Amino acid sequence: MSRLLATMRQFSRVLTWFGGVLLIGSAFLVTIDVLCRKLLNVSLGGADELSGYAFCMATALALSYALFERAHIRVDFLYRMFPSGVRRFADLLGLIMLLGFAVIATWMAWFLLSDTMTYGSRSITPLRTPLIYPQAVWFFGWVFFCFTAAVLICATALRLVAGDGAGASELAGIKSLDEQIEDEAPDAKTAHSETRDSTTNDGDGR
Amino acid sequence: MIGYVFVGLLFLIGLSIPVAAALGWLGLLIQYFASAMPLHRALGDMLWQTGTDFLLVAIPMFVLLGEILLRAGITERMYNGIVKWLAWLPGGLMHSNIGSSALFAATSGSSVATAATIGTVALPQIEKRGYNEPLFLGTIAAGGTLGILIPPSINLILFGLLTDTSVSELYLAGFLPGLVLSLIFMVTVVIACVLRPSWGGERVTATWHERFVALIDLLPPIGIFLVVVGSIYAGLATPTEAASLGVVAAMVLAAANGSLTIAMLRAAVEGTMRTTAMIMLIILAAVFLNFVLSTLGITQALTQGIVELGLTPFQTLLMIIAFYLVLGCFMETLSMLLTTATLVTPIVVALGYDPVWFGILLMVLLELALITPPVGINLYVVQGIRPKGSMNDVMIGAVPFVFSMFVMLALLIAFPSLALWLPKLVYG
Repeated sequence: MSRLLATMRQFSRVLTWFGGVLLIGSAFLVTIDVLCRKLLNVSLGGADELSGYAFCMATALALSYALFERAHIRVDFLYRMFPSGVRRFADLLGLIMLLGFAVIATWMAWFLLSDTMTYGSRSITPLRTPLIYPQAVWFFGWVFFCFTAAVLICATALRLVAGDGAGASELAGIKSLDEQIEDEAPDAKTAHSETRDSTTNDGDGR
Repeated sequence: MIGYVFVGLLFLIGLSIPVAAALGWLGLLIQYFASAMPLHRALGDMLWQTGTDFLLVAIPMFVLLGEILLRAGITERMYNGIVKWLAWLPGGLMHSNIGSSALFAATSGSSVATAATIGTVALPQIEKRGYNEPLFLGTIAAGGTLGILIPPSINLILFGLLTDTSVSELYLAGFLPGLVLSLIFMVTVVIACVLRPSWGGERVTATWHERFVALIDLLPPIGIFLVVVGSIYAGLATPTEAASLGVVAAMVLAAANGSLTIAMLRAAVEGTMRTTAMIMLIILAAVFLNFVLSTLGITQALTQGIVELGLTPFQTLLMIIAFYLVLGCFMETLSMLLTTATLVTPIVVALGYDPVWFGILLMVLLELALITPPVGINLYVVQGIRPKGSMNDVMIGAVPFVFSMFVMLALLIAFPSLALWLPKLVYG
C-alpha cells in the first residue's frame, strides 16, 4: 500500500509539473500577444482561448497533488476541539464526501466529453480548436483525482484499523500551521521546523 | 428553505468537511429535493466553462508571480530599503513592517506569505532594538492583511467573478483604500509610541544619500507593481494579461538575480498549482451551488426577505457588517468570501449601494477576519514564526489594528468616493 501511495504521489507531482509548463507557456504566449498588439498593432488572436485550455488542464491535473498535500481547505474551528478519535472520523468522512462529489463531477464531465467525441465538437472561435484534446486531458485529471481519493480512503482506513492514528492523520488530517507556513513562505523559519520531523504530528500543531 | 441551506452549510463546514465538498454536496442535495429539473446535468458544462474562463487564468498567474518573487531573494533587501525611508518615525522599524507588507502585497496576493516572509526578516529586530513586542508583532500580523486589499488581489478577482463586477474597476477601487489603510496603521503606531515612548524602541535614521541608494533595492517590487497594476490602470491589459506580463517580468528579474533555476521553478510551480487546484475546486463547487440557488429563486427570495424587513439601507448594512465580523471569528477568509459573496452582494446592491464599493468594504472585513481570534490565520502565522513567547502577545498586539480597520470601515462608509473616485475617473 505505501509503495502504491508513493508512486501515485510522485505521479501526481509529475502531472503538476506538466501543468506548470503549460501555465508558464501561457504566460509567455499572452505576453507576446499583448506586446504585439500594443507595439506592432498586430493581434495573434487565440492566446486567451489557448491559455484558458492550459489553465483548465493544469488545474484538473493538479487536483490529486493538492489532495496528497492536504491543501483542500477545511474549516478547523471545531476540529481543533474534537478528541482525536472524532478527528480521525471527520478526516475520513471529509475524504469520502470529497470523493462522492468528485465522482459525480467526473461523471457529468464524461457526458460533455462523450458529446464532444460524438459530434467532433470544435470551439466557436477563429481557431476552431478540436475540443477533444484539451477535454481528454482535463477528464483524465478528474478521473485520477477520484482514483487518488479512493486510494487515500482505503489507506487511511487501513491505518486506522491497524491503530496507527498518527499515520492516518498524515494522509487525511488537517495540515498543521507550521506546514502551512512552510508551504507558503519558503524563506520563513518556523519555530518548530527543526523538531517537527522527529515528533509525531497529529495535525494540530497549533 | 433558506434556513435549511444555512444550517446544512454550517453543519458540513463545522464538521470540517472540505469546503469544496460541502458546497458541492449542498448544491446536489438541494437540486435533488427541490428541483423538478436535473440541474446537476449542467455540472459538466459548468466545470469546463468556468475552468477555461480567461479571467480566472489570472489566479494561477498571480500566485505564480508571488511564488517566483518569494524565491527570487529580494525580500530582505527590500525590507532594509524601506527601513531607510520609514524607520525614523516614532515606532521605528514597525513602520517598515507596514511599508514593506504594503509593497509586498502589491506584488503578491497571499496574506500568509506576506506575514510570514516579512515577519522572518523583522522579528530578530525586536530584542536588538528594544521594541514593545506585542505591538511589533501586531504590525506584522496587520500589515500582512493588506495583501487582499491592495491590487493585484486574488480575492478581488474572486469577488468580481462571483458577483459579475469588473475586476479592473475593483483593482482601481482598491488602490486608494489600501494606501489609506497602510497610513492608518502607521498613524496608529505613531500614536501608540507618542503616548508610550518606551514602546517605540530604537529609531533608525538615514541620510538622503543612503535613501536614494536604497531605492535600487526597492526597484524590483516597484517595477513589477508598475508592470502589473500600471498596465491595467493604463487600459493596456486585462487583469489576466497583466498577470502574465508580471510572471514573465518576475522570471526575468529572478534570472538577473541568478536565482532562476529548474529546481526553483519546479518548487514555484508546485506551490502555485497546489493553491490553484484548491481555490478552483471551491470556485467550481460555489459556482454550481449558486447556479442551483438562483435557478430555484432562493437567492432572490433571500434578497426580497431582507429588503422587506423594512430596515433602512444603513441599518441593513450595519447588520451585514456585524454578520461578517462574527463569521470572521470562526471562518477562514477564502471560504467566507466564496460562500457568502453571491448571497450578500445582491442584497447590498438592492439597497442602492455600489457593488464595486461593497467589494472593497468586504475586503476590509476579510482583513479584519485575518486578525480576529480565535480563527485569525495571521495571528497564528506570526506566532508560528516566533521562537518563543505566548500567543497572547500577538492577540494583544493586533487589537490596535482591529480598531484601525474599524476606522477604515467608517471612512469607506462616510466617503464612498475613497473607493469609487479612481474607477469613475478612468471609466467615467
